[in-house]
Amino acid sequence: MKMRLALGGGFAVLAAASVLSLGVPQARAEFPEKPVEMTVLFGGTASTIAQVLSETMAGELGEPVVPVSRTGGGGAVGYSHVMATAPDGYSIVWNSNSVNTTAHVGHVPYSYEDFVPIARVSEETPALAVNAARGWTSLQDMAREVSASDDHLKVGISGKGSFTHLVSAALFDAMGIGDQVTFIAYGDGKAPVELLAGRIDAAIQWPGQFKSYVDTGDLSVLAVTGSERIDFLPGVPTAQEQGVDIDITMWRGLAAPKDTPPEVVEKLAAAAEAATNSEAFRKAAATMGFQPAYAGPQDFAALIARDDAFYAGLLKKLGLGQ
Amino acid sequence: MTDLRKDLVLGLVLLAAGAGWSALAWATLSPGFGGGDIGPRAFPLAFGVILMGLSALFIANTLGRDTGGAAAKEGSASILWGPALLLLLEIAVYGALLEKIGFVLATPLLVLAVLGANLKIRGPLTLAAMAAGLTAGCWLVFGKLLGIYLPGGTWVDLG
Amino acid sequence: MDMFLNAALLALDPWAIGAVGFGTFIGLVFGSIPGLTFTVALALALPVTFAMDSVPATGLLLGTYIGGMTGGSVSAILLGIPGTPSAAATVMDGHPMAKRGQASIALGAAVVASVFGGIFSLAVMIVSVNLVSRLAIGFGPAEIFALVVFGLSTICGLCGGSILKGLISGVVGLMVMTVGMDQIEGVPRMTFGSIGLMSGVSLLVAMIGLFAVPFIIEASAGDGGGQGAGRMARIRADLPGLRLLLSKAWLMVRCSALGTGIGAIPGTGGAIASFLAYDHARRTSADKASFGQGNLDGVIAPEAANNAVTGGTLIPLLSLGIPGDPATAIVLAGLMIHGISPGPALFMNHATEVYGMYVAVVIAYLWVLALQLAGIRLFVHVLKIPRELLAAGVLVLCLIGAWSVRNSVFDIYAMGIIGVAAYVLVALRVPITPIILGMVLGPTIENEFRTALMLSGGSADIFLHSPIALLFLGLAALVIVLQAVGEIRLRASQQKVNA
Repeated sequence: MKMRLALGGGFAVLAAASVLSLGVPQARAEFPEKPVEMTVLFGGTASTIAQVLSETMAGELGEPVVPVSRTGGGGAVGYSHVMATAPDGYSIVWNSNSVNTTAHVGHVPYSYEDFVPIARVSEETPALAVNAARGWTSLQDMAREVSASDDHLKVGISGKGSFTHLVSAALFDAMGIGDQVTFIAYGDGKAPVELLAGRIDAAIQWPGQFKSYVDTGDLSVLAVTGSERIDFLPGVPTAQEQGVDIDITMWRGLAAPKDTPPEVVEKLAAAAEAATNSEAFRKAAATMGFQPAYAGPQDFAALIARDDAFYAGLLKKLGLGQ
Repeated sequence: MTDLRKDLVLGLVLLAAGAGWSALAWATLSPGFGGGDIGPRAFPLAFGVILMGLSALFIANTLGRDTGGAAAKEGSASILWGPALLLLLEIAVYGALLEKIGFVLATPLLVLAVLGANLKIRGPLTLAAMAAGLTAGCWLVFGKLLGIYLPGGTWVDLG
Repeated sequence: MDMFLNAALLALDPWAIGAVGFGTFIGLVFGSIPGLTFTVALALALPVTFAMDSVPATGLLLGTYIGGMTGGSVSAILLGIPGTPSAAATVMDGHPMAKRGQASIALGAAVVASVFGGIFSLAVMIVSVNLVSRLAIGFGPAEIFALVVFGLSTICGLCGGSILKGLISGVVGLMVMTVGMDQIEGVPRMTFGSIGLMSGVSLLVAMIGLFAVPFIIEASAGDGGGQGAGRMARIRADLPGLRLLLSKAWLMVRCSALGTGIGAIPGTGGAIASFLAYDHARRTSADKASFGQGNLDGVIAPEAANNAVTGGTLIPLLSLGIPGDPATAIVLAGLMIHGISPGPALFMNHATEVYGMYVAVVIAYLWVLALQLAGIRLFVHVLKIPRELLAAGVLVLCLIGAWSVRNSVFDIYAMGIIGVAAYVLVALRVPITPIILGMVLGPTIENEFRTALMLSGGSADIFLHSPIALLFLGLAALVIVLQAVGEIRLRASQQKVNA
């Protein structure tokens, strides 16, 4: 009986509280009037950049931006969560190309069209590294030697359908040695060590992972896959410079659930732009090896749509798409 | 139920679980492409088959023990199905409420339910103090001091 | 030498010592509380370090990591609920000791073993970082697979009464970890199309369910009379004597060496090391029968090993830039944001910071020693809390812990379901520690095996032509044979008694 009373008391409090929150007319105050929750899909670098970004954005918005990690399922968990939240700008997602790639591998109930792009914030350019002992100094060296032999090149990737897999496949196809590649899937980013030990011949990973090995001369980075060289590895030419026509980078940015009001999106985009230009963000970019790359809502939307078509084609060609 | 019966039921349940698991793995996962790729099916399937084998051995062993008759040494505790399922229900309801009414409201309800229904605490003062104290303490220490993200509700949000 | 002095000055700055102490304290708190671990603590501590100088910043992160690794033993011993997966092996003898009224002895020995293991591994690292990292590079997928098979063979030592029940529970653990995204192929497995299941079952969430939920259900069997937890003997706060500890020194050395080695190999970690060390201690003990009943060696071995892992993982982290687990991945991010890019060039480019880290690790262990020894007298009072109230508190902490792993309600449901299943298994005398072992090793065993076969194009030669892989596979076979022989002997002697 006492317990029922206690529970009843609890419900009374609950009822009163909900009346309070629903009863007060929603004042149309300026966005934001409470903390913004930023869902983070991956750990590691993604989560660290998100933490730097959220601190600077909070300063701009005047309300905290709280990075909340919702990892798992290659981003599916976080995307599904944000998609189901109210489109009021208080729940945004720190997204990346993964919205395009996972959607085409299937198994997920969303696509990029379920989100309103807010802004692209950063770009990361993959780099191709080989063991320095191979003596290759350019993509041509590598292509020539591989196509002259019958050998299959062992290329380390993070997993089938992962971004490193897609970039590798596209690059080696463009080099004309796509048929002589065996992909070795590692569950995690151990590529530099595996290269060093000579268990694999080449790997595409993020520049930050190779930097120290390049300094000691253990590994050679032959190319970056974007259209421009990166500050982090200024001596490394792009694939295009070497006559291999490929331009793939990974962007990270912010998106909100579909139907978020445009004025809210504008406000968040402005905060993201200011944060991208901030001293703290640029410093983090230099030390971690990514590029600040702000693009506003419209440009960002066009980029995502273009990427989506590109990855759909690439995945289909690899037999991974639907 | 004697220990022997319980072990027999346990063995049969595990055997069925292993069979169901293996069938599901066989039906829904793709085999490898050969050339070193053993595919995503091999390991789950192998584990399922091993579980079936071990359960079968276990059942055989249990039946063998029956004729031996010298088994009833270790008395196993009787299973408290009631409290176990009640706790599961309470955790499920808590999970459902957490993102609707937030940590600050869902937690005292859970504490009251668990203390009252499972742990049979009857003192109203103890109940109230525990519900309020645990909620406020955790909210303050974890939410505010240590910065763990505690969910606010979508229906009611008290922070 | 100048550089070392310079680094020592930076690290011995009151600010830096304070930062390390703060990190250690936070780590201890997160580690001690069932459900919260140093992985969450590190993620929360990372933004705090953004504005700091590099030496105090890395000191704070290292302190959090070390404190968290040490703190896991507290709730493992007092409540039988490991604070982190690395402390799961400590439960087996630590908790029975607490039930006998020797909680403070177990806690004290755990702290001393932890600090010893940590300092030992740091010394190994300072002396031989290059050698060890060269050896670690030799561990490819085939070798790591073999090592993990060796780890799995220790399952026999965790079974308690029935080997068959123990093996079944190990396989269940292996099965649970295949649910979710397959990392190699990128396809969902056994998920029934559920997004929640796609993220898989978190080891941490399963561990909370496995140990904490049975504790809570069993508490409801009490009569509400407000006894202390588990009807314990009188609670004392005696610490283990120096002579007792000295008599265990050789065991600590062996287990610390083992932990350092395991830690140095990427993709392994504290939990594997502590299980292997526990098994080693049991196997080499003159008094095997008392393991699982509260043998102090069963506390010292895993605790020395799991803290030795902290120094061990720093080797590949710093010299190769390879994080061994999600926790060290956060430490890596913290280093990179301060411009310290780990890898072979680290010791050329950032020697001062590296020496600063060494000093910070020593300071962190001094803090651990001071905070924990002072804390034991407080901790043991937890046992005076009436079991019912304690159970309610543990439940709330565990729910917060389960939630905080991925901020998802799915993990709360998973904890409940796994917990109730675990309770039923415990009541049926099925040991649950092998489930943890299966879950810890499952993903590694599968991924490394599949990667190894891809490398060799499907040929088993990759395992047979590697001396390291053969060594560990041989050790695993040896352990299984010894276990089987022991079992048959035991049966035979029992039959004699019965007849």
